[in-house]
Amino acid sequence: MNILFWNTGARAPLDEIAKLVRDLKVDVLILAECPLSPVKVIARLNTGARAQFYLPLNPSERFIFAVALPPRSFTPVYDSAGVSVRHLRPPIGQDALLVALHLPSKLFLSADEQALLAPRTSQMIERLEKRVGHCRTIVIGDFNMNPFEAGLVSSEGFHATMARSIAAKESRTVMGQARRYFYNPMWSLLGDCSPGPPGTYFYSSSSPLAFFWNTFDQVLLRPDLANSFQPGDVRVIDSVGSQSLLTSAGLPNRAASDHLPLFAAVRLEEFDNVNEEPLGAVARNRRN
Amino acid sequence: MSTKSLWGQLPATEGIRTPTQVLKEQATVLSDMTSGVLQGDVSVNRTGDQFSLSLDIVVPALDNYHYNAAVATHGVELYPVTLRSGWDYSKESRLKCADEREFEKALEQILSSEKVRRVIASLLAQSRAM
Repeated sequence: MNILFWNTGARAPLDEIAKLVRDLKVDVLILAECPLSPVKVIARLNTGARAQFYLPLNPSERFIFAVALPPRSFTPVYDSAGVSVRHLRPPIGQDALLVALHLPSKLFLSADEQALLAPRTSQMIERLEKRVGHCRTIVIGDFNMNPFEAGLVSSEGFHATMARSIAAKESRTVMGQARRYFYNPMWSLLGDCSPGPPGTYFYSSSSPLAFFWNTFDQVLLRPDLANSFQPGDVRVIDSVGSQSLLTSAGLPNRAASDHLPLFAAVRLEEFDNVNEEPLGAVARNRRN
Repeated sequence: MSTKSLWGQLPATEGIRTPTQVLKEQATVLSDMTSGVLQGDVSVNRTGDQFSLSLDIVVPALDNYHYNAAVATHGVELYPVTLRSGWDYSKESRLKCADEREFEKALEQILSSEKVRRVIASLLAQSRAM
Protein backbone atom coordinates (compact mmCIF):
# COMPACT_ATOMS: atom_id res chain seq x y z
CA MET A 1 0.00 0.00 0.00
CA ASN A 2 1.79 3.14 -1.22
CA ILE A 3 0.76 6.39 0.46
CA LEU A 4 1.88 9.89 -0.47
CA PHE A 5 1.26 12.84 1.86
CA TRP A 6 2.05 16.39 0.84
CA ASN A 7 1.29 19.66 2.60
CA THR A 8 1.44 21.88 -0.45
CA GLY A 9 1.43 25.05 1.67
CA ALA A 10 -1.32 26.82 -0.30
CA ARG A 11 0.53 26.12 -3.58
CA ALA A 12 -0.87 24.08 -6.46
CA PRO A 13 1.94 21.88 -7.83
CA LEU A 14 -0.37 19.74 -9.94
CA ASP A 15 2.32 18.57 -12.42
CA GLU A 16 4.59 17.47 -9.59
CA ILE A 17 1.74 15.68 -7.77
CA ALA A 18 0.72 13.76 -10.89
CA LYS A 19 4.27 12.72 -11.71
CA LEU A 20 4.99 11.61 -8.14
CA VAL A 21 1.79 9.55 -8.03
CA ARG A 22 2.75 7.83 -11.27
CA ASP A 23 6.45 7.30 -10.46
CA LEU A 24 5.84 6.05 -6.92
CA LYS A 25 2.82 3.92 -7.86
CA VAL A 26 0.75 5.65 -5.21
CA ASP A 27 -2.48 3.99 -4.05
CA VAL A 28 -3.61 6.70 -1.62
CA LEU A 29 -2.80 10.38 -2.13
CA ILE A 30 -3.37 12.80 0.76
CA LEU A 31 -2.99 16.54 0.21
CA ALA A 32 -3.15 19.17 2.95
CA GLU A 33 -3.35 22.96 2.58
CA CYS A 34 -3.98 22.37 -1.09
CA PRO A 35 -6.04 24.99 -2.93
CA LEU A 36 -6.64 22.74 -5.96
CA SER A 37 -10.14 21.51 -6.68
CA PRO A 38 -10.32 17.76 -5.87
CA VAL A 39 -12.01 17.19 -9.23
CA LYS A 40 -9.10 18.83 -11.02
CA VAL A 41 -6.63 16.63 -9.13
CA ILE A 42 -8.54 13.46 -10.06
CA ALA A 43 -8.87 14.47 -13.70
CA ARG A 44 -5.12 14.97 -13.91
CA LEU A 45 -4.28 11.73 -12.10
CA ASN A 46 -6.50 9.78 -14.46
CA THR A 47 -4.92 11.24 -17.58
CA GLY A 48 -3.00 8.30 -19.04
CA ALA A 49 -2.64 6.81 -15.59
CA ARG A 50 -2.04 3.20 -14.62
CA ALA A 51 -5.06 3.15 -12.33
CA GLN A 52 -8.38 4.90 -12.06
CA PHE A 53 -8.35 7.26 -9.11
CA TYR A 54 -11.56 8.37 -7.48
CA LEU A 55 -12.60 10.82 -4.77
CA PRO A 56 -13.98 8.92 -1.79
CA LEU A 57 -16.63 10.37 0.52
CA ASN A 58 -14.76 13.05 2.43
CA PRO A 59 -16.56 15.53 4.70
CA SER A 60 -13.20 17.04 5.74
CA GLU A 61 -12.18 20.26 4.07
CA ARG A 62 -8.64 19.98 5.38
CA PHE A 63 -7.52 17.11 3.19
CA ILE A 64 -7.94 15.95 -0.37
CA PHE A 65 -7.95 12.16 -0.64
CA ALA A 66 -7.50 10.49 -4.02
CA VAL A 67 -7.62 6.72 -4.03
CA ALA A 68 -6.75 4.02 -6.57
CA LEU A 69 -8.32 1.07 -4.78
CA PRO A 70 -11.48 -0.95 -5.38
CA PRO A 71 -14.73 0.64 -4.18
CA ARG A 72 -15.45 0.15 -0.45
CA SER A 73 -11.69 -0.18 0.18
CA PHE A 74 -11.42 3.29 1.66
CA THR A 75 -14.26 4.32 3.96
CA PRO A 76 -14.58 7.24 6.38
CA VAL A 77 -14.39 6.48 10.09
CA TYR A 78 -13.94 9.84 11.79
CA ASP A 79 -13.37 13.52 10.99
CA SER A 80 -12.53 16.49 13.17
CA ALA A 81 -10.35 19.57 12.87
CA GLY A 82 -7.11 18.39 11.27
CA VAL A 83 -7.76 14.69 11.90
CA SER A 84 -9.35 12.34 9.36
CA VAL A 85 -9.50 8.60 9.91
CA ARG A 86 -10.22 6.13 7.12
CA HIS A 87 -10.63 2.35 7.09
CA LEU A 88 -8.34 0.79 4.49
CA ARG A 89 -9.45 -2.58 3.18
CA PRO A 90 -6.98 -3.58 0.47
CA PRO A 91 -7.92 -6.39 -1.91
CA ILE A 92 -4.99 -8.48 -0.60
CA GLY A 93 -3.83 -8.54 3.02
CA GLN A 94 -5.18 -7.14 6.22
CA ASP A 95 -7.24 -4.04 6.74
CA ALA A 96 -5.81 -1.02 8.59
CA LEU A 97 -6.77 2.33 10.02
CA LEU A 98 -5.27 5.30 8.22
CA VAL A 99 -5.10 8.51 10.26
CA ALA A 100 -4.35 11.69 8.31
CA LEU A 101 -3.22 14.58 10.49
CA HIS A 102 -2.64 18.27 10.17
CA LEU A 103 -2.14 19.46 13.73
CA PRO A 104 -2.09 23.12 14.85
CA SER A 105 0.95 25.14 13.81
CA LYS A 106 3.54 26.62 16.13
CA LEU A 107 2.25 29.96 14.87
CA PHE A 108 -0.85 29.37 17.03
CA LEU A 109 0.35 27.12 19.86
CA SER A 110 3.52 26.86 21.92
CA ALA A 111 5.42 23.55 22.01
CA ASP A 112 4.02 22.98 25.51
CA GLU A 113 0.45 23.56 24.32
CA GLN A 114 0.99 21.20 21.38
CA ALA A 115 2.24 18.52 23.79
CA LEU A 116 -0.76 19.08 26.06
CA LEU A 117 -3.18 18.60 23.16
CA ALA A 118 -1.50 15.50 21.70
CA PRO A 119 -3.26 13.13 24.18
CA ARG A 120 -6.64 14.06 22.68
CA THR A 121 -5.58 12.69 19.31
CA SER A 122 -3.87 9.61 20.74
CA GLN A 123 -6.93 8.82 22.93
CA MET A 124 -9.19 9.21 19.90
CA ILE A 125 -7.00 6.77 17.93
CA GLU A 126 -7.22 4.22 20.77
CA ARG A 127 -11.02 4.55 20.86
CA LEU A 128 -11.22 3.90 17.12
CA GLU A 129 -8.82 0.94 17.37
CA LYS A 130 -11.14 -0.57 19.97
CA ARG A 131 -14.06 0.00 17.60
CA VAL A 132 -12.46 -1.79 14.63
CA GLY A 133 -10.95 -4.46 16.89
CA HIS A 134 -7.28 -4.22 15.90
CA CYS A 135 -4.24 -1.98 16.16
CA ARG A 136 -2.98 -1.95 12.58
CA THR A 137 -2.84 1.82 12.48
CA ILE A 138 -0.88 4.15 10.22
CA VAL A 139 -0.68 7.82 11.19
CA ILE A 140 0.61 10.18 8.51
CA GLY A 141 0.63 13.92 8.14
CA ASP A 142 1.94 17.27 9.30
CA PHE A 143 2.24 17.05 13.08
CA ASN A 144 3.79 20.52 13.33
CA MET A 145 6.06 18.90 15.91
CA ASN A 146 9.43 17.20 15.47
CA PRO A 147 9.90 13.48 16.27
CA PHE A 148 11.82 14.39 19.44
CA GLU A 149 9.19 16.75 20.91
CA ALA A 150 7.16 15.76 23.96
CA GLY A 151 3.85 15.47 22.07
CA LEU A 152 5.35 12.73 19.87
CA VAL A 153 7.49 10.94 22.44
CA SER A 154 5.43 11.15 25.64
CA SER A 155 3.49 8.09 26.78
CA GLU A 156 0.44 10.36 27.07
CA GLY A 157 0.91 11.71 23.54
CA PHE A 158 1.70 9.54 20.52
CA HIS A 159 4.30 7.49 22.43
CA ALA A 160 6.32 7.16 19.23
CA THR A 161 9.70 5.56 19.66
CA MET A 162 12.74 5.61 17.36
CA ALA A 163 13.48 1.87 17.65
CA ARG A 164 11.42 -1.03 16.37
CA SER A 165 12.83 -3.25 19.10
CA ILE A 166 11.19 -1.00 21.70
CA ALA A 167 7.92 -0.65 19.77
CA ALA A 168 7.84 -4.45 19.40
CA LYS A 169 7.13 -4.67 23.13
CA GLU A 170 3.75 -3.16 22.13
CA SER A 171 3.21 -1.18 25.33
CA ARG A 172 4.72 -0.19 28.65
CA THR A 173 3.18 0.62 31.99
CA VAL A 174 3.43 4.24 33.03
CA MET A 175 2.17 5.27 36.48
CA GLY A 176 0.08 2.11 36.61
CA GLN A 177 -1.49 2.38 33.16
CA ALA A 178 -0.53 0.58 29.93
CA ARG A 179 0.42 2.81 27.04
CA ARG A 180 0.76 1.42 23.50
CA TYR A 181 3.73 2.38 21.34
CA PHE A 182 4.00 3.72 17.85
CA TYR A 183 7.18 3.21 15.83
CA ASN A 184 8.45 6.43 14.29
CA PRO A 185 10.75 5.69 11.33
CA MET A 186 11.33 9.43 10.82
CA TRP A 187 14.10 9.37 13.44
CA SER A 188 16.24 7.61 10.82
CA LEU A 189 15.61 10.45 8.35
CA LEU A 190 16.86 13.37 10.45
CA GLY A 191 19.90 15.45 9.56
CA ASP A 192 22.73 15.23 7.09
CA CYS A 193 23.43 11.51 7.40
CA SER A 194 19.89 10.56 6.40
CA PRO A 195 19.42 9.18 2.87
CA GLY A 196 17.38 12.26 1.86
CA PRO A 197 17.17 15.92 2.84
CA PRO A 198 17.77 16.84 6.52
CA GLY A 199 14.04 17.37 7.20
CA THR A 200 10.72 18.14 5.54
CA TYR A 201 10.34 21.84 6.36
CA PHE A 202 12.88 24.65 6.79
CA TYR A 203 12.39 27.61 9.09
CA SER A 204 15.15 30.06 9.89
CA SER A 205 14.83 32.13 13.04
CA SER A 206 16.92 34.53 15.09
CA SER A 207 15.46 33.16 18.33
CA PRO A 208 17.82 31.24 20.66
CA LEU A 209 16.23 27.88 19.89
CA ALA A 210 16.19 27.22 16.16
CA PHE A 211 16.37 23.80 14.48
CA PHE A 212 16.32 25.29 10.94
CA TRP A 213 15.37 21.91 9.41
CA ASN A 214 12.25 20.40 10.94
CA THR A 215 10.62 17.04 10.35
CA PHE A 216 7.02 18.01 10.91
CA ASP A 217 5.74 15.61 8.24
CA GLN A 218 5.88 12.11 9.67
CA VAL A 219 4.47 8.64 9.49
CA LEU A 220 3.92 6.47 12.59
CA LEU A 221 3.22 2.75 12.58
CA ARG A 222 1.75 0.57 15.30
CA PRO A 223 4.05 -2.36 16.21
CA ASP A 224 1.87 -4.79 14.21
CA LEU A 225 2.78 -2.90 11.03
CA ALA A 226 6.31 -1.89 12.06
CA ASN A 227 7.17 -5.58 12.12
CA SER A 228 7.17 -5.71 8.32
CA PHE A 229 8.84 -2.31 7.85
CA GLN A 230 12.04 -2.19 5.79
CA PRO A 231 14.55 0.64 5.38
CA GLY A 232 13.49 2.78 2.42
CA ASP A 233 9.78 2.16 2.96
CA VAL A 234 9.45 5.73 4.23
CA ARG A 235 11.11 8.52 2.26
CA VAL A 236 11.18 12.30 2.21
CA ILE A 237 10.91 13.18 -1.47
CA ASP A 238 13.19 15.93 -2.75
CA SER A 239 12.85 15.47 -6.49
CA VAL A 240 10.21 14.69 -9.08
CA GLY A 241 11.94 12.92 -11.94
CA SER A 242 14.84 15.16 -12.89
CA GLN A 243 13.23 18.20 -11.24
CA SER A 244 14.53 19.05 -7.78
CA LEU A 245 12.07 20.24 -5.14
CA LEU A 246 14.98 22.10 -3.49
CA THR A 247 16.51 25.44 -4.36
CA SER A 248 20.17 25.81 -5.30
CA ALA A 249 20.77 26.44 -1.58
CA GLY A 250 19.29 23.03 -0.82
CA LEU A 251 16.11 24.36 0.83
CA PRO A 252 12.50 23.47 -0.08
CA ASN A 253 11.56 25.41 -3.19
CA ARG A 254 8.48 27.37 -2.17
CA ALA A 255 7.33 27.55 -5.76
CA ALA A 256 6.10 23.97 -5.23
CA SER A 257 5.64 23.99 -1.44
CA ASP A 258 7.45 24.94 1.75
CA HIS A 259 7.04 21.29 2.82
CA LEU A 260 8.56 18.29 1.08
CA PRO A 261 6.32 15.32 0.22
CA LEU A 262 6.42 12.18 2.35
CA PHE A 263 6.12 8.70 0.87
CA ALA A 264 5.28 5.56 2.85
CA ALA A 265 5.03 1.98 1.61
CA VAL A 266 3.10 -0.05 4.18
CA ARG A 267 3.30 -3.78 3.58
CA LEU A 268 -0.32 -4.69 4.32
CA GLU A 269 -0.25 -7.23 1.48
CA GLU A 270 2.39 -9.20 3.37
CA PHE A 271 0.01 -9.92 6.22
CA ASP A 272 -1.45 -13.36 6.49
CA ASN A 273 -5.23 -12.95 6.69
CA VAL A 274 -5.51 -15.80 9.18
CA ASN A 275 -2.49 -15.35 11.40
CA GLU A 276 -2.39 -11.55 11.23
CA GLU A 277 1.39 -11.68 11.07
CA PRO A 278 3.66 -10.49 8.28
CA LEU A 279 4.24 -13.42 5.92
CA GLY A 280 8.00 -13.23 6.55
CA ALA A 281 7.37 -13.73 10.27
CA VAL A 282 4.95 -16.59 9.55
CA ALA A 283 7.57 -18.28 7.34
CA ARG A 284 10.23 -17.80 9.99
CA ASN A 285 7.95 -19.25 12.66
CA ARG A 286 7.15 -22.24 10.46
CA ARG A 287 10.88 -22.87 9.90
CA ASN A 288 11.56 -22.75 13.65
CA MET B 1 -21.75 8.13 67.98
CA SER B 2 -21.84 9.40 64.41
CA THR B 3 -18.88 11.39 63.01
CA LYS B 4 -19.49 15.10 62.82
CA SER B 5 -19.53 16.41 59.23
CA LEU B 6 -17.06 19.18 58.54
CA TRP B 7 -18.40 19.65 55.00
CA GLY B 8 -21.14 22.04 55.98
CA GLN B 9 -24.40 22.05 54.02
CA LEU B 10 -23.78 20.47 50.60
CA PRO B 11 -25.06 22.63 47.73
CA ALA B 12 -28.24 21.63 45.92
CA THR B 13 -27.60 20.16 42.47
CA GLU B 14 -31.16 20.04 41.14
CA GLY B 15 -31.67 22.22 38.11
CA ILE B 16 -27.98 22.33 37.14
CA ARG B 17 -27.51 21.21 33.55
CA THR B 18 -23.93 20.23 32.91
CA PRO B 19 -22.33 20.93 29.52
CA THR B 20 -22.32 17.14 28.98
CA GLN B 21 -26.10 17.03 29.54
CA VAL B 22 -26.67 19.88 27.11
CA LEU B 23 -24.61 18.10 24.44
CA LYS B 24 -26.38 14.77 25.09
CA GLU B 25 -29.76 16.45 24.69
CA GLN B 26 -28.70 17.75 21.28
CA ALA B 27 -27.42 14.29 20.35
CA THR B 28 -30.91 12.93 21.07
CA VAL B 29 -32.55 15.78 19.13
CA LEU B 30 -30.50 14.93 16.03
CA SER B 31 -31.50 11.30 16.23
CA ASP B 32 -35.19 12.24 16.61
CA MET B 33 -35.07 14.76 13.74
CA THR B 34 -33.57 12.22 11.33
CA SER B 35 -35.48 9.15 12.58
CA GLY B 36 -32.18 7.62 13.63
CA VAL B 37 -30.52 7.91 10.21
CA LEU B 38 -28.04 10.21 11.93
CA GLN B 39 -27.28 9.90 15.60
CA GLY B 40 -25.39 11.98 18.12
CA ASP B 41 -22.59 10.72 20.33
CA VAL B 42 -20.98 12.54 23.25
CA SER B 43 -17.58 11.42 24.53
CA VAL B 44 -15.68 12.79 27.50
CA ASN B 45 -11.88 12.82 27.85
CA ARG B 46 -9.96 14.06 30.83
CA THR B 47 -6.41 15.43 30.78
CA GLY B 48 -5.32 16.61 34.23
CA ASP B 49 -8.16 18.75 35.57
CA GLN B 50 -9.45 19.62 32.09
CA PHE B 51 -12.52 17.88 30.70
CA SER B 52 -12.92 17.73 26.93
CA LEU B 53 -16.39 16.92 25.56
CA SER B 54 -16.99 16.01 21.92
CA LEU B 55 -20.33 15.99 20.16
CA ASP B 56 -20.10 13.77 17.07
CA ILE B 57 -22.61 13.09 14.31
CA VAL B 58 -22.73 9.32 13.81
CA VAL B 59 -23.88 7.60 10.63
CA PRO B 60 -24.94 3.97 11.30
CA ALA B 61 -25.32 3.25 7.56
CA LEU B 62 -21.66 4.19 7.00
CA ASP B 63 -20.15 1.76 9.52
CA ASN B 64 -20.81 4.24 12.33
CA TYR B 65 -18.73 7.00 10.74
CA HIS B 66 -18.21 9.87 13.23
CA TYR B 67 -18.07 13.54 12.25
CA ASN B 68 -16.94 15.80 15.07
CA ALA B 69 -19.37 18.75 15.22
CA ALA B 70 -18.36 20.53 18.43
CA VAL B 71 -15.76 20.37 21.20
CA ALA B 72 -16.29 21.89 24.65
CA THR B 73 -13.66 22.09 27.38
CA HIS B 74 -14.05 23.02 31.02
CA GLY B 75 -12.27 22.61 34.34
CA VAL B 76 -13.52 20.96 37.53
CA GLU B 77 -16.03 23.77 37.84
CA LEU B 78 -18.54 23.39 35.02
CA TYR B 79 -18.42 26.97 33.78
CA PRO B 80 -16.88 28.81 32.05
CA VAL B 81 -16.84 26.47 29.06
CA THR B 82 -14.75 27.02 25.95
CA LEU B 83 -16.57 25.88 22.83
CA ARG B 84 -15.34 25.49 19.28
CA SER B 85 -16.57 23.82 16.13
CA GLY B 86 -15.20 20.36 15.41
CA TRP B 87 -13.62 21.42 12.13
CA ASP B 88 -11.70 24.49 13.23
CA TYR B 89 -9.12 24.55 16.01
CA SER B 90 -7.92 28.13 15.50
CA LYS B 91 -7.96 30.45 18.50
CA GLU B 92 -10.42 32.76 16.72
CA SER B 93 -13.03 30.00 16.55
CA ARG B 94 -13.11 29.46 20.32
CA LEU B 95 -16.07 30.90 22.18
CA LYS B 96 -15.89 31.41 25.92
CA CYS B 97 -19.25 30.80 27.62
CA ALA B 98 -19.70 32.09 31.15
CA ASP B 99 -22.83 30.10 31.92
CA GLU B 100 -25.37 27.59 30.60
CA ARG B 101 -27.31 30.21 28.66
CA GLU B 102 -24.22 31.45 26.79
CA PHE B 103 -23.15 27.86 26.17
CA GLU B 104 -26.49 26.96 24.55
CA LYS B 105 -26.40 30.10 22.40
CA ALA B 106 -22.86 29.36 21.18
CA LEU B 107 -23.72 25.71 20.54
CA GLU B 108 -26.73 26.74 18.49
CA GLN B 109 -24.45 28.98 16.40
CA ILE B 110 -22.28 25.97 15.53
CA LEU B 111 -25.00 23.33 15.06
CA SER B 112 -27.11 25.55 12.81
CA SER B 113 -24.11 26.79 10.80
CA GLU B 114 -23.93 26.42 7.04
CA LYS B 115 -21.04 23.97 7.38
CA VAL B 116 -23.01 21.57 9.64
CA ARG B 117 -26.04 21.84 7.37
CA ARG B 118 -23.91 20.85 4.36
CA VAL B 119 -22.34 17.93 6.23
CA ILE B 120 -25.75 16.69 7.43
CA ALA B 121 -27.19 16.94 3.91
CA SER B 122 -24.26 14.96 2.51
CA LEU B 123 -24.41 12.28 5.21
CA LEU B 124 -28.19 11.87 4.86
CA ALA B 125 -27.84 11.48 1.10
CA GLN B 126 -25.02 8.95 1.50
CA SER B 127 -27.05 6.99 4.05
CA ARG B 128 -30.04 6.80 1.73
CA ALA B 129 -27.79 5.63 -1.11
CA MET B 130 -26.58 2.63 0.93
